[in-house]
Parts: sequence; structure tokens; C-alpha cells
Amino acid sequence: MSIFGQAPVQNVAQGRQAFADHLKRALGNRTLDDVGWAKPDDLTLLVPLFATRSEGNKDAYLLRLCFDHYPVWPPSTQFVNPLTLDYRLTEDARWVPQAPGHQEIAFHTNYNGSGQVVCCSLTLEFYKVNHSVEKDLVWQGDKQTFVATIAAIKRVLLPPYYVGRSSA
Amino acid sequence: LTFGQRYVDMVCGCNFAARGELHMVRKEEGRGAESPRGEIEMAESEIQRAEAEIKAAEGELHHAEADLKHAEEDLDRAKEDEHRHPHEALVEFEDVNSLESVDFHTPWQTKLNAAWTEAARLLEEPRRTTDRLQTPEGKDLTPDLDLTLRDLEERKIVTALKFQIVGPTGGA
Repeated sequence: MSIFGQAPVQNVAQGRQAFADHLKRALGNRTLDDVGWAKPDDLTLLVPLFATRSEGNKDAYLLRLCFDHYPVWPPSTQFVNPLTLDYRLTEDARWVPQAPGHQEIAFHTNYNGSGQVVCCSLTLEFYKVNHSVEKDLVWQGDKQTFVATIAAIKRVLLPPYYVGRSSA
Repeated sequence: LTFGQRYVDMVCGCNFAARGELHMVRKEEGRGAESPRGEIEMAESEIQRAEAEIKAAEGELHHAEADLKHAEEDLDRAKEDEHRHPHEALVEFEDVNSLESVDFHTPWQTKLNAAWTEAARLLEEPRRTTDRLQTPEGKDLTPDLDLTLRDLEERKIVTALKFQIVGPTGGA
């Protein structure tokens, strides 16, 4: 069933089960430690990511995925301060990558006053702020997984898109 | 020393310096000097920050060690594979939506596009015109589909013959 035009609905029990299932499939024979991810609770996944600047230097980021609307809706996707594992407006802006110019994804430290938004049809916040999207690009919960979200974000953390840390 | 270890050492050094500074400030205060409360607070906050950084650096070190272990395992597997299939490459394709993956041997002269078609056949997932191929690091391989696997490796376009099949997204 398409979620096109609908408002996100939370379903913790379903999210917990789908996350456990998809995480198991994504890991295969590997462990969380093997891939460098962390699962602080049954609904949250922390994914360290490195962004590469044009001169080759790398910046570290921490992505926090939450699965309380999953899999009907994509995971909530936020870059967080690695020391607090949280995102506070203004003071944590530097923990959000700056990558202007990509046609499919944008990172906003504060999108129209709604907080941080990873502007991509594979994130929950994209639908929470009611961003426009073509019908055939809408998240398909029966076919897509959180790994697609991570893969999409990685595409933008490379030159020529990634330029450095955001500022408040 | 690995980068992670050097980083931990550096942050530990800062922490040490901050503690020394705090000690000096407290000693000064004990001698009856004007109460430098602000300096104590600053030094304590610096210690807290340094301790948090140590924690983060230790986490990075842990990940770096895990990465190194995987790289060594990959190298061992690649050596063993090259020994058994001297004229063929082992390629791996993952569909990030279905989370299915396949690996197979194919001649080094195979073009990336042809390898992708074979992977789609094995995955039983038809190729859509909007699908794209990228490396696990996120590098878009659309411009490189007509290159052979040998080209990809020799030109250092990829670090491993592992590919992700991804669909289109909207946003920005």
C-alpha cells in the first residue's frame, strides 16, 4: 500500500520487529561490531559515516536511525553529536554534513524551523515536513529497507557534493 | 601506532595537561591568592571535554581495529581466490532494497554493465532503467559501466569488486 499523500503513523511493535528482521538480513554472517554499527535499543541504530572532502581529507559523522514508524515509513534519520548521541539545534550544527548541489538529497540543520531534516524520500522527516515528491519515488515499505537510506546518504558524502561541516 | 592510537594518546595528553592546570589553580587558591573560581570551572570543563573525546577516540580505535581485521580477512580470501581462479575476478553485488546479495566469478575482461546484468539474473530482480550501481562507499559508477573489471581495478576506481544496486530517490 502506498503512503503517498498520507501522514506518518507510529507503530512501535511493528517497527521493532521489522528492524530486527532487516538488521539480521543486512548483517548476514557479520556482527554489529564487524560493521561498526551500534544498537543502543530495539528501535535505534547508530551508524558512523566518513565524508570525504575534495582534497581527500575525511570528516567523521554519526547517523542515528529510529524505527518507530518502520517499515511502512522509512527510518527517522538524524545526524547527531557523537558525544551526546543527540541533536540540539544551533549548537550541534557542526555534526551535520554540508553538501549542497545534489539533486536528490540535501541536509538541513533546521528546515523551516522544524529541526534537522535529511531531505530525501528515504527518511521519515521528509514526510513529516510534508515535502513534495514524485509518486514513483515514494518510500515502499514492502520493498525497501534502511540500508537504502544509508546508501543514499553515502552518495552525497563524497566530492563534488560534500564540502565540510555545517555551521549554525 | 595506528591513527586511532595516536589520537587517543593526543587526547590523553590534553587531559593530563588540563588536570595539571587544575592542580596548579587549586594550589594557588590554597595559598590565599584571589579565588580563581572561574579558572577552576574552566579547567574542570576542559577535563570533561577531554574525557568525552577520549571515549570517542576509543570508539574510533575499536572501529579501526575491526576494519583492519576485515581487511586482513578480505586479503586472505582474495589470495586464496586468485590461486584457484587465476584468470577470473570474484565480484559481489548487493541489492540494498531486497538485502539479497550474490557473488560469482567472471573473466577480468567482463564489462561492469555485463556483470551487473548477470547479477540481476542471479538475484532474480529485473534491472530497472532508474537503478544505479555504486560502491559500498557511495561512489556512483554510472560513468564507468563500460569499463572492464580489470580497468576498474587498475585505474583505482574501486577498492574492491563489491557493488550496491540502488534505486532512485527524491528530495533536496
